[in-house]
Amino acid sequence: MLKTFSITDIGRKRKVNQDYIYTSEKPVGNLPNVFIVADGMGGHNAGDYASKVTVKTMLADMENSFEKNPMIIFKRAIEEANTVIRTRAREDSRLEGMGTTVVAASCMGRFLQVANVGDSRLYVVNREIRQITRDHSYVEEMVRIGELDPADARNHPDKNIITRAVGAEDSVEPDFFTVELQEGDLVLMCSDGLTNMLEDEEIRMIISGARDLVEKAERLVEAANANGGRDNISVILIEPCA
Amino acid sequence: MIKIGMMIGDRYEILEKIGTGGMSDVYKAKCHKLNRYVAIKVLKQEFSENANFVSKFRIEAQAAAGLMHPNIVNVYDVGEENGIYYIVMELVEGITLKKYIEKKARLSYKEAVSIAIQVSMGIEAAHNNHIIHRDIKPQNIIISKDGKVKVTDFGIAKAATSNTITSNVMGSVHYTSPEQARGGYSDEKSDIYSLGITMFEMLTGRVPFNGETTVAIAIKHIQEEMPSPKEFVPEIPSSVASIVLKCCQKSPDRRYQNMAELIADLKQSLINPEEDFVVTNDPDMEGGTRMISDEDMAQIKKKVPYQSNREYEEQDHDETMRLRSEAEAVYDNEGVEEEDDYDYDPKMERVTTVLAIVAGVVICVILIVLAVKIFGGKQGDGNGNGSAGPIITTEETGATEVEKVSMPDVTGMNVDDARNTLTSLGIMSEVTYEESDSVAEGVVINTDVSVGAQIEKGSKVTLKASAGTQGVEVPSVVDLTYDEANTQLVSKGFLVNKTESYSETVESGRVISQTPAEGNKAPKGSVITVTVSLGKEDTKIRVPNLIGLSEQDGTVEAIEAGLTVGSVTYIYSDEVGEGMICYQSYSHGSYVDQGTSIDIKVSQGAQKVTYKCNANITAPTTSEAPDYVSGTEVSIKLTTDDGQVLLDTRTSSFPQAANYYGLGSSGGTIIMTYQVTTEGTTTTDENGNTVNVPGKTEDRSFTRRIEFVKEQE
Repeated sequence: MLKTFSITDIGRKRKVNQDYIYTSEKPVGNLPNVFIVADGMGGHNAGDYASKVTVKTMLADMENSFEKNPMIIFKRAIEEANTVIRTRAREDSRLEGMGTTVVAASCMGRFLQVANVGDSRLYVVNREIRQITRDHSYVEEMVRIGELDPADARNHPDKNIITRAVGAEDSVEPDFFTVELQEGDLVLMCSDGLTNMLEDEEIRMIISGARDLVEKAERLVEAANANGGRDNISVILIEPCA
Repeated sequence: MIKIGMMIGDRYEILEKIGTGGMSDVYKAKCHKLNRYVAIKVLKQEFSENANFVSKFRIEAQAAAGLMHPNIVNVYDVGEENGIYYIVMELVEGITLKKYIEKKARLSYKEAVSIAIQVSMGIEAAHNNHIIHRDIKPQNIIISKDGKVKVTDFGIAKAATSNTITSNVMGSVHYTSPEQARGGYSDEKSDIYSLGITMFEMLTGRVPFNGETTVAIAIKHIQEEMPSPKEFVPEIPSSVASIVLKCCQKSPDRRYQNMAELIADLKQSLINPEEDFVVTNDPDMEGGTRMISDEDMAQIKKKVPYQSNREYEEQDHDETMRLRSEAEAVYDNEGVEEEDDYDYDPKMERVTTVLAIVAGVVICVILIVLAVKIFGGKQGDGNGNGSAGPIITTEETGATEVEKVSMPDVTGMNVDDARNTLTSLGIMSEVTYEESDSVAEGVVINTDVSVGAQIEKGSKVTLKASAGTQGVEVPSVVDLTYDEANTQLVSKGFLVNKTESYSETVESGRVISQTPAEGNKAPKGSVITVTVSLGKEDTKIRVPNLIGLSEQDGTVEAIEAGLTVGSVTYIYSDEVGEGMICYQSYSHGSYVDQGTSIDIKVSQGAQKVTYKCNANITAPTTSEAPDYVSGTEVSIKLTTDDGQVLLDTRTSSFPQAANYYGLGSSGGTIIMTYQVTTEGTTTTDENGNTVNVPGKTEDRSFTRRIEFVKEQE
């Protein structure tokens, strides 16, 4: 049976938590389970509104979807959320410019289907830590085209600029990944509040050093806060086949 | 052959024989690499020739080698050299618990419980690694000279996850659990039973079940009621007696379910010995006497070794095990308790065994007759069969079989549904498209595996689907980077799904394969799955931190991680304490190939600085000694600051050479003493008398400081 544990923490510097997470070990529509991390952006309360509305819209859409391919289900749900966010932003000037990242996953047997927009991440952690999603961020794109050294990317002043987001444009183009899980794999989904505070290897060590999912998740959040906690920190851990 | 003084494995010098068992000899040896004493168990010649047994010996020793616990005799190394198979173990000097009990007749309950706790912790460590000892008995528990309790001889233990859980009783029959006696499935709870018997023996000085033959004892384990240790020693606290009885329940389900539960109760018994806290699991008639079933009997008979020469020659995979356990059982019967004293004599054994079989068969027949009479042929319907468990042999389970599934009918489904259906069954799928007028776009036309065929999970089937009449040609993206592939496919209106896989040939980050393949005409909006290389499969292991560990712990840590220890050098270090590792040739957290040799440096403590003195001691100067007369004799004493007298001489020739090395202090003092002689004088006193004042000779000395020079290492 799949096990999961999740936390979202405001961090130490922000006044609001714009992250929104959702986990369901039970079926949602045709998906056997669903895990979503959304990291909202936008002033006032727009950021937390964007992440919350995105997740809720996606859920409603997935719940009613007749699609069977999880990839298509995620794609439709994210597109629907994009439409809703764009419409609300047009209707209410206070919400203008809001958007959110989304990383969504569903675990089907030993396959994990992942969809991603933005710079929240999904990792598979075992003896090594492997980032499955690629960030849709300015620095990541720069690194990819060879304009930026990966070593400089971490502390780049523009590292918070994302190139794709739900609500950013009229259409949204998620990336999709299918991961074949191995025995002992642990899935970590998180917002950049975690990954900007901790190196991948630190994350791996914290995870391997803690006893159970609760402790692993709590230690990650503690460590991110100890390193500054500059942003909201969200963590979902999934143990696919316990 | 092993001879005293020979070297094995290029590092172990055989020093003396310290014991002999049924299948192996044990030697004390010195490991020259790590400069420590070890015990080496060498498989006897006659067993080394049995390939089957040798592989078993190795596998099991390796399983045990992964165990590290203060209450376990640790296994360091397993090896083979010129047909000599050996296991290198921690050398524990002490006596077996068996001897210890004999010496003391019986132990106080406090001592027995404290030993039991330590044994339990050792066993628990093994169980946590899925290793079952299967032969827990006082002969396999060592009380070291410094009072530590260690469980040894995991030689016949077997990783619980391996599928061999066959028939024969491996432990000595006095300590064997009913399920082992029956030849059934044995698991962690079998060790709990054996430990219960061992506790009984510690507390009372005797074993609960005794008999003339192995079979007779085995039968008692299966059917005779376990006596309470209180019957023999009334002063044993009731909680301790209850713990023993719970350990020794016939049905594994009624025993402690794991070592942790047992340890908790043992600890509690030291605090509240008379309190009734031991929870009995469903105490119905289980504890009572019951009849042996014929199935039980058949199993008992089966496990008795040397039934016939034919069976012996069958090279049964368990034969050697059997042989060994019987050897032990036999000397137990003879009252020779010390395992390592036993001298193996197959002839003697055969005689005993034949007797045992005869006795066994006789008892068996009687019991079966009785059983038939009593139950009217329905014997063995109760708890017996339930707890006997399945008898699984290696042959039956074999290597892990790949599960097979039946190919479902997916034609007529749309591609996404079809792939989803297959994925949920564990079948991988590939899609090819072809243009079709008759089948709607995106619908599966056929598959390359027919419906109902049995296919292995994880195998791949190809779906042919319709691209309709408006298909878009799929470009080849193989060998492109994921980003390039993604851009190309998205621009043509496809959705891209990325999967990853290791590849020996394709560079990491590039596309190994795609489905549908290039040239297909696929509908717009359909999914193209690209498999991106993760590079070569990483079989590397992570280097653990060794720095700060003792040489021994570090070696263990390295070996556990899958490394071997290469050169060990001893250097001075200010940062790391003496005896601790201060350098490792691969840094912590780096990845190296399995079996990589890692060099370590061990601190000898902070470097001792030494000084040298290369001085020419010059004659006293006028400022030091105004009245010194050049050419007269001077006594020179050179003392270092830490009190070492380097020079103590008299001389009149200067300069005096002083060369000394390896000095402990950075400087010293020279004390020079010379004599001053005043001439005699004659004076006249007030009375006009002449007074002669005689000349005087007196010692005068002065001190001169001298600094030494630091010596280079």
